[in-house]
Amino acid sequence: MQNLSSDKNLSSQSSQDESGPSLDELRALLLGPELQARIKNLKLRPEDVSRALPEALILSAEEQEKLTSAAVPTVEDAIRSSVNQDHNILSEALFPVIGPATRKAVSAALQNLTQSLNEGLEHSLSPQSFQWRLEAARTGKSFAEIVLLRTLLYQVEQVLLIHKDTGLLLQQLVADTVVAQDADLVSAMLTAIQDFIKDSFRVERGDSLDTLHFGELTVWIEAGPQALMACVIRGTAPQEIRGLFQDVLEKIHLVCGQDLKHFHGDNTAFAQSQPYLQECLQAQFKPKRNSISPLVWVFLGLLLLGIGWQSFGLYQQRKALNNYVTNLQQQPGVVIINSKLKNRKVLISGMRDPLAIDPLSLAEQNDLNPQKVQAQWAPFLSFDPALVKTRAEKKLKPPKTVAFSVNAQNTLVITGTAEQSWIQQVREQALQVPGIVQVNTEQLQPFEKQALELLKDQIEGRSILFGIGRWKPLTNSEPILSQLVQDIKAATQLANTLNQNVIISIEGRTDRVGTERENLLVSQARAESIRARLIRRQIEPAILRTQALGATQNTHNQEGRLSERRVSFKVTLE
Amino acid sequence: MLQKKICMVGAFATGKTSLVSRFVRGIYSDKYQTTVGVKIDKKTIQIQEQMVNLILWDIHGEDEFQKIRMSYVRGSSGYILVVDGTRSETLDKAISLQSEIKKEIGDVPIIMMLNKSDLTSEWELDDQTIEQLSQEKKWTVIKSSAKEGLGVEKCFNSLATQIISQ
Repeated sequence: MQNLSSDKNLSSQSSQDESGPSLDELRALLLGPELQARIKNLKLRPEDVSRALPEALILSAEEQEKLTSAAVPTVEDAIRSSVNQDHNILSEALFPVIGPATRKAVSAALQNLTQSLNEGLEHSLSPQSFQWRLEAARTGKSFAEIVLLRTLLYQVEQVLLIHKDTGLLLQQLVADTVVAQDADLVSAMLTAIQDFIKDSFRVERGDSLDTLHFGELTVWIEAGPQALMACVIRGTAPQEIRGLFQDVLEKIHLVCGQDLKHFHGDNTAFAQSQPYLQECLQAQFKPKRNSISPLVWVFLGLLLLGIGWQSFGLYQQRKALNNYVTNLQQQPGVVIINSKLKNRKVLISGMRDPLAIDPLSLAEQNDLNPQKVQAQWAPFLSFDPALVKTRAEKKLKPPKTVAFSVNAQNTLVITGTAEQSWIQQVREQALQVPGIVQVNTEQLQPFEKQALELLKDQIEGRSILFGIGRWKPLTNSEPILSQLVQDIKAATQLANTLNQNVIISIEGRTDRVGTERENLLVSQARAESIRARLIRRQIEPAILRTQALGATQNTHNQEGRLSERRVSFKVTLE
Repeated sequence: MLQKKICMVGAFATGKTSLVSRFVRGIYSDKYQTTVGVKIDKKTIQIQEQMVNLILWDIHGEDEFQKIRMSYVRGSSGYILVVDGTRSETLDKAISLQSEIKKEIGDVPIIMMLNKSDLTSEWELDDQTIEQLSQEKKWTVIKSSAKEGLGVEKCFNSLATQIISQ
């Protein structure tokens, strides 16, 4: 067009100089008759356009897609117009294409269906299928949909962009954490396999190997006019993703069309395809189950056991502490102020009477290790009757014959017998014992008095026998006399301690034989005889009195009369 | 980096796989294993300060029962015709193969390797024939021995240089 404009300018300029004959000649010489005619008639001729159009189209195609974009509306209108006029023309033209395309689409759909069915069957009897059936019922989706939804887990591990003719690798993208093999060899081998299959089997022209399965690996191969895209997938990818791969391949063809066409081994130009290939690295992962290692379970079990054991131990220890504290609180002279467990030790503090029980001695009874009990006791005096009693016992040192008791009014009640001197001491000192308010000794008897009574009974129980009409005791009376002397001496001594005097009344008796006067005389003689004998044995004469009672009884047998002839004793305390 | 597809073609048992093995891995094995289909290897070499990734297609040898699939050579930037110098008939096979390949992929750099040069006592090709062939076809002809490594590197480097220089 630029050339034509130039020509036009040239033409107008020429017309201005038309007057010059030399110029006409020059023009005729330079342009010739044909060019001159065309200059005169500047309209575009169809034959010229038809000649330039193919070249123009090629040039335009090389300048990106401008011509394509510009041609789209016209082509669309043309197709629409053609279909409106006679749809048979287009359908006949497309027939060779529609067949394979339809077969491919149906094949893909069937493959999807088979995949779905397989997975459905696979999971129809599994325990998880029941869960999925429930989910299907809850969400209103079909079971197959749920199965697909829950099982389509995959990762596109690698994407290889391969030049179709040479089998050379143009670009490669590998997902993170995936270790890829040598992509150059893989792409070449994939191409070789494609070629092998094409050569070995009768395949439709344009068909290509589109899927490879190996264990859980699948290679989906998308073929474009210039390049192949091989996507290595681990797991089961949804068929929809294939559409994404096709889109990506189309985009790459659009962007790198010229580079693909003129590829001679330099793949640097294909770096621009990386963002598109990146789109293909899709992944869908099953949510991680909490598949915990058995070792972890064992560890957790042991941990729980340990915690349980510790807790149980703590519970036991706390229970033991409570029992211990309760027990201690019941003890007289112990007041608990604080108690707690710390670092598996029992810390306890309070007040304690020195006479109270040792708290540690109760620890073991309450299942506590005494070595783990740390106690702090402040001393105090308890007025608890039990401790007051102990305190009194400690202070007053009662003999074994004496018993102490302290009543609720803190009255010390002393019972039993004790030496008079001790009794006097107690009466003076008992009230000095802390906690004793009053002393009751009503039931406390001096030991001497009791002994004196005993001696009195012993003395009064003795008799010295005499022969008929005699005042000299029978010879066998000597031991009785000796014993009597001892008793009287002991009684005298005891009476002295009690500030009393012992008076021994010696009573002489006779049997009925003889007159009363005689009997009185004999009985008096007998009493005096014994008194003299006692005096001879160091008995104080002042305490010995005699009394003649004569015959006091009337017995008839021999033995009875013997017992009537006797001297007996009466003890009086003054 | 430049990538170039190179094919190894020739009659069966001419030592194509051994040549590739010697070139790529530097090893040789006496054990003969026939190639089924195609084996692919690669080696990166430096030509004129440019790194070139050679993708080597070791195509099964052709015999009366098995024809080489031309689809394998499609897209090759060059190829190596391997001839067993101890079997003169393999030269004829190489020539006929070259003719077929030319039909398929056109004129691309070619190297003819006369392999097994270590077996001098069994050598069947005379130098005159080889010289004549070289001049007539304008091919680079190199004697090689996969066993001893003779001429192997030279051959591949020479082919790569021709390809780059195109």
